[in-house]
Amino acid sequence: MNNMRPSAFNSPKVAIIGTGLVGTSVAFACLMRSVASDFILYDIDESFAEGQTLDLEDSAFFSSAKIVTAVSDPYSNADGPGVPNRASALKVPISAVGQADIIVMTAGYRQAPGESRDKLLERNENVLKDVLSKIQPIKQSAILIMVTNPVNIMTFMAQKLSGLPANQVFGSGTTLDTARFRGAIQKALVRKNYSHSSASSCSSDDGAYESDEEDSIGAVDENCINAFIVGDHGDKQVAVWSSATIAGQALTEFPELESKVTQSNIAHQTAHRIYEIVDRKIASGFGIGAIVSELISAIIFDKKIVAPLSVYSERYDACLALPTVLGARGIGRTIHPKLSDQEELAMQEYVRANQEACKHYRKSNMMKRPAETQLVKEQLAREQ
Amino acid sequence: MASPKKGSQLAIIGAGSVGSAIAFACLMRSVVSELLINDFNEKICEGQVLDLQDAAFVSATKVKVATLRQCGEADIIVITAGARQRPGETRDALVLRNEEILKGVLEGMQPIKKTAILVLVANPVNILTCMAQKMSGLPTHQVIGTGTLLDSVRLRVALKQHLHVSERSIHAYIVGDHGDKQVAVWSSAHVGGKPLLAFEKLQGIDLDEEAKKVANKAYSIIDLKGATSFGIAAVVSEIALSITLNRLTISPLSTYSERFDACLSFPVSLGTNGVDTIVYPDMDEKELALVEASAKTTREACAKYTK
Repeated sequence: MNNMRPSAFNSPKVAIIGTGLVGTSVAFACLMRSVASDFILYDIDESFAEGQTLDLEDSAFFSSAKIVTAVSDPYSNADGPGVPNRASALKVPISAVGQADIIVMTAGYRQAPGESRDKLLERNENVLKDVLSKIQPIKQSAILIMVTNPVNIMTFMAQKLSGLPANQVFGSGTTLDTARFRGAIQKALVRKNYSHSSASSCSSDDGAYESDEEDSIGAVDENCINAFIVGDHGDKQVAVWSSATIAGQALTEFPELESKVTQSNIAHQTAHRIYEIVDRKIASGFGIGAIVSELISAIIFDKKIVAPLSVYSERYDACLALPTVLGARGIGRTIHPKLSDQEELAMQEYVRANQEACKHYRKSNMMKRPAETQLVKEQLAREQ
Repeated sequence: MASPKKGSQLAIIGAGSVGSAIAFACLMRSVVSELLINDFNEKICEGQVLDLQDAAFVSATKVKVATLRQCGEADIIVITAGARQRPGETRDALVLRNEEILKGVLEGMQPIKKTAILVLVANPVNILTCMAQKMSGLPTHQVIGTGTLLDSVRLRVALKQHLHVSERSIHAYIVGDHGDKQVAVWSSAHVGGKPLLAFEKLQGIDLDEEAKKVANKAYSIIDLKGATSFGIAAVVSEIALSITLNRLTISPLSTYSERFDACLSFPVSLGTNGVDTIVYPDMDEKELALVEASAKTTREACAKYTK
């Protein structure tokens, strides 16, 4: 099949590195939402990636999207033992991953019991370096989305190692935490007549079992709740209550949310939701899959949405999650939400931990984002 | 008295990898207002729901844990319980395990909403569909199985590579049994009104081998990644949309066939009221013989289930 004819439209190619729960969740979400029509899946375990590709191509039928898998030897016809008349996925060389327009990096290790953070970072740095070397040359206009954890630090590394301009490399940041935060706020707003729990406890169990008697007059679509989690995609994340609003009205002035105890509980619940999930089963990554599909959509359709992505911040001299504009050329301006003194302190605490963790990588130069530098200078000048 | 209806509901019985993938697919495609998830293992069920809720912001759909009784009130009820085929296990070996599970599920959901459409995903799907048709209390046309829809999709995906034509434009059906005995109806398959077999691009291709690969694709995938989930999930989301939007699209699903007096998978038009019409593709002698053999086996296996 010859696809080499020049075409009027170049449908964007999306490459996903790592075909575990997260990578396949991203692919599946994109397919179900018809976000893109050309996918390349790569995993160091090439048979595993092929299995995922075969399964996903069966799901692509109603959108007729193309899914292929990248392998080190695309021309090998070796049939594995065990299954007669084995189906095989379409294969491309690994270098095709580097030529994609959007590259999603999900591959990496989870922290093993007893493993230090530094050791984990070293292991994941090696994975990143290995992947980047295999997929060379990388298309100069490619946009790299980092999802591997710890995402802020991995993004920092990728910005130094990928060779891409800094505005084309970002991470999923606190997008998932923010979605969870807004979901929790929405539930708090719905539960006006919440009988079997006081306002001071908000266990996530109750999220799974919704009452039929809930007062739906109080509900607000979570996408209309202007509230962000910033900083760390982890325990040190900062829930920005002080400047959160719905239609210009401060969230902290809503009767359901004015109690500091409620606010603190919701923030705590958000940061710990992942533990509620993994306590019960292996997390499937549905949330991150949906979110990354949304980020990919923002790039393909040049949506210029504002999302708390992992970006380098000049103000904090660290790579962390802050609301940033995302469009076809990658990230645009970063917006710093107004923080209360307490929230700023919490940010600074995370920044210190982040800079400490990144100290090995801080020595090398990094391309500055011209727009960011100019805007930061202007903002700093205004604040003098 | 039931609480005032907020909108359409789709219930999924079984929150394993298949059930949760179906939920995710329906969530991403905003098929219904509410997804109800049930699993006999409450902890896993809660975990899946919490995980799915993280994705709900892109869709108008709400997700929650439900009892079997609550699932019985849904508009569409998808039964996946017991669906996973173990590596090396043939579909027939699943029978006894899944019969028990289905019986328990159907009893737990009673009384089922009179207009509900029941979709069987678990295997062996024709037999379980027949069983559910007899035991659920619902009219026959409201109980279907995913049948050979996924196999037909797989066939079209395979042919797409040779023909360079979208899967949706290759009108080729696999009928009969979703299993090793499935029948690819080559004789009347067509693309753009032209018989598939007349296409030059297929002249050098061993179509029997292609059909075997399709029949074995599940095993291939299980061999490589342990289980299948995405394909069947997408297929079920399509079935659900056909129902909610009253599309009357033609898809090969497990249904009772009067012509063959057995529960088999044939192209049927599917809408809000379930199966509307059954369409029998023109089959040559060989294909008919295979279908009749399949019908006989299924009829005998189902003889013990009575209304």
